[in-house]
Amino acid sequence: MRTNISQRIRQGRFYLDGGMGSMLIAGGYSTSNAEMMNVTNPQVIADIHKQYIDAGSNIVYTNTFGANCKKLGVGADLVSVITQGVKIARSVAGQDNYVGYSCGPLGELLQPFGDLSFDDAYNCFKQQAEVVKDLDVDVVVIETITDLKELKAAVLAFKENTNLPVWTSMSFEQNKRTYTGTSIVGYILTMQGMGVDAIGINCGLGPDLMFDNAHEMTKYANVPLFVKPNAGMPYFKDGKTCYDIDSKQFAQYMAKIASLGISMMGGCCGTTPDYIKQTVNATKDLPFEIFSNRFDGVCSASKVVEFAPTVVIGERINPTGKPRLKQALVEGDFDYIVSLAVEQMEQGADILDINVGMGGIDETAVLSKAIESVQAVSDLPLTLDTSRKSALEKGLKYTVGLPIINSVNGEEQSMQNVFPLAKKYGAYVIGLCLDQNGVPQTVQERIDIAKRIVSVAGQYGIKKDKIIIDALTMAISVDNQNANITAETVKRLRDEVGVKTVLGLSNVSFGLPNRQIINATFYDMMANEGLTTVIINPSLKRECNQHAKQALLGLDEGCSEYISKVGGIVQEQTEGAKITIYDAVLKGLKGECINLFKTSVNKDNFMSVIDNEVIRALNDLGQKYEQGKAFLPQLIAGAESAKTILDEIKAHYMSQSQSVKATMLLATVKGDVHDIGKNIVKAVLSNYGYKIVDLGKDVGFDKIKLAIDEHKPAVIGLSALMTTTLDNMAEITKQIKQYNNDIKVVVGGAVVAQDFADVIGADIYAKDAQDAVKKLGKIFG
Amino acid sequence: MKIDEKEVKRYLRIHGQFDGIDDVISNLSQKATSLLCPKSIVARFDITHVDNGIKLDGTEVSFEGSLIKKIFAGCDEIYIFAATLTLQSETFLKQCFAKSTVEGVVCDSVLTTMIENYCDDVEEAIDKKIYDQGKISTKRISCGYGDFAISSQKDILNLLGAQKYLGIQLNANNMMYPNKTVTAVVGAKKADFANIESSQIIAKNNKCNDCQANCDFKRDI
Repeated sequence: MRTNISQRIRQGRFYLDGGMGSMLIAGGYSTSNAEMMNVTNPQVIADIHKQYIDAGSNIVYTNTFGANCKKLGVGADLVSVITQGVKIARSVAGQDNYVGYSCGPLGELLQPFGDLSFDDAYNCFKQQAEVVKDLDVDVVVIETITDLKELKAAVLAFKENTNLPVWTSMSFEQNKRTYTGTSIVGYILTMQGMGVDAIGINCGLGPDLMFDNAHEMTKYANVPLFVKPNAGMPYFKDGKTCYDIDSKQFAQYMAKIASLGISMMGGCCGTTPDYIKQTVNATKDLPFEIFSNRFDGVCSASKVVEFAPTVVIGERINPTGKPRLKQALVEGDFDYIVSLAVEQMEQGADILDINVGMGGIDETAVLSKAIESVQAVSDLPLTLDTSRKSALEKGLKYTVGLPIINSVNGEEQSMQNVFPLAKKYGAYVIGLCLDQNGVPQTVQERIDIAKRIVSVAGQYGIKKDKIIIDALTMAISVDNQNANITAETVKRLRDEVGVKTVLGLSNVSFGLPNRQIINATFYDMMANEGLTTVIINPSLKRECNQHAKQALLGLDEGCSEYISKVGGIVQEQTEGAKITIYDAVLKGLKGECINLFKTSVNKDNFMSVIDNEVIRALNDLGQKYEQGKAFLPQLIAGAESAKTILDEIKAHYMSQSQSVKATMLLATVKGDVHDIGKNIVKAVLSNYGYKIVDLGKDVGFDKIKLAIDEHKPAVIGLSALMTTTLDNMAEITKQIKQYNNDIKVVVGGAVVAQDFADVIGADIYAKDAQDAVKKLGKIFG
Repeated sequence: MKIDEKEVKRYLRIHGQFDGIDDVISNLSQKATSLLCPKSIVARFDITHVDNGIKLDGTEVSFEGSLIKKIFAGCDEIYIFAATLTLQSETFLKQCFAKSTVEGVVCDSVLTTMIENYCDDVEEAIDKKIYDQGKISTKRISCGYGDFAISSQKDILNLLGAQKYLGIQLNANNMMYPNKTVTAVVGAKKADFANIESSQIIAKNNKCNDCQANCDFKRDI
C-alpha cells in the first residue's frame, strides 16, 4: 500500500513516467485526438502505462494532457475522457504506485498576448477539476505550461475545487525563460507562494541542455523538484519528428541532473520506457536533497526584486490629487495608466504601486483591469494598494507574479480581511502602524502595533519575513518632532522587531515650500538608516540639503530657517519657458506642452488656447504634411503634443459634454494586423474633439457590434492594408449599415481608394489622417 | 544582427532628410537588437507536382495555386521555415507606444525591418545548403502572396511544430502572433550552373521587381 504522495516524494528518489505521444506514434496511432483513446481504445493506453511501471516509474500520468474544452471542443464528453483516463491509469498503477492527473495547456494564449481571458481559462481548468475531485487520483500535475498567468489560473482552479496536492511544470528555453518571458525564478517564487507541493520543468529541451535550468531551480526552491526532459532536440526526417539523444546518453545526463540533488525524474517527448529504465539504473543510488532556500523578494513573471535597502516603489498610479488620472479612470483610459507605468519604469522604479481608489468607479473591476494593462507592458512587480477586500481579492487573482499588498493595519477587521488572502497567494504585506485609535504619537505605541500585526500574521501562517512595516510619515510643519518619531520607529522596527520597513515619505513635507528638497533629504536620511523600501515618485533622487536636514531633525523651530533659506529658491525653469504653445505643438515638444499648460493656461483663457494655438498649430502642421514639408513622425509628434495639453485642459477646466464632438470607433478589419495608419488617425483625430474608441486590429463585426451598443458612436473608421482583407472591409461596412444606417462609415488604408469606398457603401473615403479631419469636419463641425 | 535603417525609413515613408529621426531609429534599432533574440525553425521536404500545385511527400499537405506552380516549377524539394521576433517584441512595441505614438510607429517599422532582415539571413543559409547540393534556389514566398492561400499558414506551422518550439499562435482568421512573425517557402531545383543567367540572380535579390504597382513603399532599383 502506498504512503501519502507528498510524504513519499520527500523520502527517496521518485520516478515519473515518460512520453505518451511518442509511444502512440510508435504504435501507429495519431496524437491529434489522443485523449479520446481513453474511451475508444483503452487497452493501448493501459499497455503504455504498464510498460512505464515495469520500467521503474513510481507514478503514471493519465492520458488527459489535452482533456480540456478548448482542445477537445465544446461537444466532447470531457467527463468520460477524464474518468476513463483515471480508471485506466489506476488499473495499471494498482494500490502500490501512484496516479497523477495530467493537465496540459489550453492551447490558446491568454490576454494580453492572446484573446483568452483569465476567467475563461480558469473556468476551463475548473471543469476538469470538478470531474477529477471525486476520482482515484493521488496528485494533479499541471505541465508543459509556458505562460505563468495560465499556470496561475490552473493552480487556482484545482486548489479551489479539489483537495488534491498540485505539482506544476513549465517548459523553459535555454535562456532560462519560457517563450512568453516567464523566468525560472519568477515561476518558482510565484508557485511556492501559492503553496504547490512540487515544482518541475519539462519538455522543450533534452537533459543535456536542461541541466542549467535544473540548477537554477535548486537555488530558489523550498519544495521537492522534478525534471522531465525530451529525448534531445527534435529534427525532421522524412516528414517525421525524431530526437537526437538515445536512452543510454539520456540516463547519463539524468545522472548529472540527479547530482544537483533533484529527486524526481522522468521523460517527455521522444522518451520511452527504456529511457526511464536506464535513468532508474543510473540514478537510484545517488543521494538527493530536500531544498529549503529562503529568497526574500517579490517578482513578476520575468523580473525579480530582492529586498535590500532601498527598493523604490513608484507611487504615481494613485488618483489622490491628480485630476488627469482621475479623468482617465472615469473614462476607462488605461493607456494613460500604462504611460505612467512606463515612465516610472524608465525613471528607475523597482516596483509599481497601483491604487485606483476614488468615488464613482467600480474599484474592483478597475483595479484588475489596471493590473492587466500595466503587466502587459511593464515587467516590474506590483504593489496592490486598496482597502477594499473584493478589489484586493480579484487583483491578487489577476496579478502575475508575487506581489505586495498595501496594506493592513492593527485593526482586527483589517487583518481578518487581508491575511487569509496574503496567505493564499504568498504575498508580502505592508502593515501600517495605526489602528482603530488612529496614528499613535509615540514610537512605543507604533512598535506595539507592529508587533501585534506580526503576531496575528503568524496565526494565519504568515512568517515575519513577509511583513513590511510602514512606520508612518507625518508632516514636520505640524510638529517638528514628527520626522524624528518616524526615524526612531524605523530604527527600532529594524533592530527590535526585525522586520522590513517602508515609508511613503512625501507627507513629511506637507505645507512647506519646495517639498521635493525635503523629500529628497528625508529619503537620503532614511536610506542611510537601512529603510528597506520607499514609496515615492521615482524621479525623486536621494540628495541631502543641510537646511532641510536641520528641519527634519527638529532643530529648526517652525522650519523658519528652511523657509527663509530654501523656500524662496525658484526651481530652475526649463529652456522652453519662452516658446508659445503654438510652437510647442508645431515642433512636437510634449514636455514643453505640460510646462506651458502649468504656466500659461487658466480657466479664463483655455478656450482661446485651444482655438488660437493648439488647433491652429495642428492645422498648419497638417498643411505642411500635405505639401510634403513635414513627414509622418512630425505629424504624429505634433498630434501627441496637442493631445497632452488638451487632456490637461479637459481634466482641469472642461466638462465631458464640452469636450466631445462625436464618438468614433476605430478598427483595422478582420484578417489584417497592420495598424500604423489607424494609430495615426487616432492620434490626430482625438485632438479635434472626437472621443476615439480603439478596437485594435483583426476586428470582425461581432466586436464592432458590441462596441456600437456600448459606446453609441456617430462614426466608425475602418482600415485595411492588404488586398486580401478588402472583402472583409466590404462585408463589415455592409453589416454596420444594416445594423444602424445612421452611423457614418469612413474607410482608409494603403489599398483603399474612393471608387472602392463608393462600391462598398462607405460614407467617406479618407486618404490619410489629415483628410479624415477635413471630411469629418464637414459633418461634425 | 544589424537592422537596415534605410529600410526602416522606407517603411516610415521618409524620403530625404529629416532632423532627429535618425537618432530615434538608431536608438530603437540598438535596443531591439540587444533585447530581442529572433528564432526560426526550418524543415526540408521532397515534393511531388500535382494538378494544382505541389504535395509535400510523407505528409497530407499540399500548397496550391498558380503562383506555387510558377515559382516551384522544376523543383524537387522545398524548405519551409518560420521566423519570429518572439513575444518579447510585442511587449517592447507596447512599451514604445506607451511612451509616445512616434516612438511606437518608428519601433513598429524597426521591428518589421528586423524580421525581414532576419528572414534574409535564414534564407541565405537555406540558399547555401541548396547551392552546396549543386542546386539553385527559388525566391521565398509566403502565404497571402498572390493566390497562395493564407490558410496554408496552419499547415506550415503544424509541420514545423512552430507553436511548441517558437510559441507562434494562429488565430481563427489565420493571423499569426507574435505579429512580427514570418513563414515562407523556398524551392530548390537542379541547375546547370554554367548557363545560369545573371538576371536570375538579380531577380531573386530584388524583391520589388515582380510587382507592377507603383506604391509608396516601392524600393529603389
